[in-house]
Amino acid sequence: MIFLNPTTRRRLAKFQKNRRAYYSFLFILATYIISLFAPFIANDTPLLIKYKGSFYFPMLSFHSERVFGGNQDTEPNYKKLRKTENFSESSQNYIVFPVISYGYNENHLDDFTENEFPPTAPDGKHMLGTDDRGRDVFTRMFYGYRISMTFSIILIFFEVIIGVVIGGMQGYFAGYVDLTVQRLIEILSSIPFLFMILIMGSFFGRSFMILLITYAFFAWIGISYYMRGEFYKLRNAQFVEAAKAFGIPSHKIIFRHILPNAMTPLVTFLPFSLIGSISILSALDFLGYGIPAPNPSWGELIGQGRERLSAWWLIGFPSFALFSIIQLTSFVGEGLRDAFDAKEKNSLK
Amino acid sequence: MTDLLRLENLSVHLLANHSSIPVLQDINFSVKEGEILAVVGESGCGKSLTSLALTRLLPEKVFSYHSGKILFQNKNVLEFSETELYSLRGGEIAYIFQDPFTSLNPIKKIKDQIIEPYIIHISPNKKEAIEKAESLLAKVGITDIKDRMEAYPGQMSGGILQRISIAMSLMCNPKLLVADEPTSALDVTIQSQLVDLLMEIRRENKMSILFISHDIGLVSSISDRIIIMYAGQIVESGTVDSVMDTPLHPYTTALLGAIPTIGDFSHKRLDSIPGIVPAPIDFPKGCHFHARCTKAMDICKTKNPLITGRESQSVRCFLYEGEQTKNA
Repeated sequence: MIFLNPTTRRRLAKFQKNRRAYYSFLFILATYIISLFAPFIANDTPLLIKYKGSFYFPMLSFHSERVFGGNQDTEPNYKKLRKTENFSESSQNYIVFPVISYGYNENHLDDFTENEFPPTAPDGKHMLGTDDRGRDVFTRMFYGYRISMTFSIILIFFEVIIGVVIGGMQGYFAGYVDLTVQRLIEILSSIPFLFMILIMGSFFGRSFMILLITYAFFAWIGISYYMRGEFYKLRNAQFVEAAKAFGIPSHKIIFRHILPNAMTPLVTFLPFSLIGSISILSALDFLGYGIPAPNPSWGELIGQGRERLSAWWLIGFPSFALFSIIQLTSFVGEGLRDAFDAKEKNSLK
Repeated sequence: MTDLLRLENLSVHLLANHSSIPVLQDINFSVKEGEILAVVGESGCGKSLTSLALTRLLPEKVFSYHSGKILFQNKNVLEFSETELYSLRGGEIAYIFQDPFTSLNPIKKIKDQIIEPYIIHISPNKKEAIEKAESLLAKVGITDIKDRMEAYPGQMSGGILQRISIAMSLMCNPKLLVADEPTSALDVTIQSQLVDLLMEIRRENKMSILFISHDIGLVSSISDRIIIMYAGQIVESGTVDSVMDTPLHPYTTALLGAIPTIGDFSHKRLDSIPGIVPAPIDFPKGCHFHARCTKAMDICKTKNPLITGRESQSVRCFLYEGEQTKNA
């Protein structure tokens, strides 16, 4: 395995020694893993209901209002349900909500007093305040983080595959393949990305998938440049010549001998791709061309803040979150770059 | 003994800017079964090109096999299909390269690299391949075989890596081993060990070796026959004894004059050959060597001499024109 390689081990050790990068990496990893369990941490659907002696897990299975003494076939509003006479008559009935009992699309207008209007400033109930529709800002940021990270990771996955295949092909086969594909890439990169998003959005409707496909369609170009260069360099390496002399077929040479040796620029490139896609997604959401409402997003919150400049919490918290994630990711990128650098230097010094 | 490999009037051209430049001209030689044939010449004489041309490893976008034949076991390699070529490379003709540090993949374990040719050419049975690799590593004099198999090329010394490369090239029991300056990147002490090893392997496996080197002294002690190349042409060939004792071509004489002799205390400067080997695009008209030759005549500048001589020694030079002519 590539991970047992002494060089890789040395690089990992070097990365770990760069504590700023290492802890940034751990922080991002931990928060992303926590955010994957967001529905169990911040949600308006309860974890557990005890009603008339039996237990219900509404997060795992659907129960209509009738089950709890209502008369609708739809899912009940559990917060209202808790207050109904039917439910509260017995102290045996209870509902367990997650730690933060707000959904990302749940508005809290009913809880507001007479002269209170959204957005409300942070207080004991909503630690980061509410947005212009009375939704909890923390919950929306939490889910927004999950969406933008997931979006970026899926995007990078496709970006890497397309970039490696196309760049690798150009580098390995060179000649006319390289020339032709390079011209196509030039045409592609001259298409304005924002217009493409708008056109795709109006054709197929705005959605997570359309955004992902459109963005992936352009984003691989950067990676393909790096891979093309690496393959160009490695195709003339002595061990590739040796492999040819041993009668090893081209596809095996590409995947077993060249590609593993070409991973260095790819790995150091990844954190910066992540930064790129997180910020581009936020920017699109800010402009209103990103993931459609009512999906939570940092960009959308900042956009709300722009319209209500007095609501400082709508601008302050999401901007700070965006800034921190980008900053931490760039620390990771910096650490990786140093770790892959054969020279003994450290950008901290 | 029959010919294992025979090159008949092979010419290879380099295609550049819509013109084609001859880089190998009328190469004629044969390797007999169980024989060591040495190819000697300065850098840029076409020795390595010849070795790569044998299995058509020269990229065919850039090089064209202009004329001639490469006969391996009486089959023309130039007419081989892709599949036949793949089984020829590594299976029948194996290579050992000059620099063991760069000819092994730096990020793969020795184990995975050494079994790769076996798995491709002989059988996909991994266990069998590892057993074979271990026995070959023992044969080439490697200790701690289990550890070496798990190690990476960067963790070993050049001598050990070259032994591993030799073991790797023997994985498929090739009939011909092409050793392209296998010792020039290594220490002199290791050189002699490796040469001894190659001799021993040849005896055991009864295979032929095409030994490419610029070290005429080393070559003369191991090979049966010798070919001297200059600027894409064979200038002299013959048995080692006759070429070393009575070098005919001025180039061979010059090469031999450039070897230091042990026990020579005369403090005389070693001879050198003035100038460098011309690049293929500048190959001169007439004899390719005439500009650097001490015995050049007027005819050398205009006409390229033919090969003349006998089976035991033949030469491409006007000094010997008129003697019995034979293409060999």
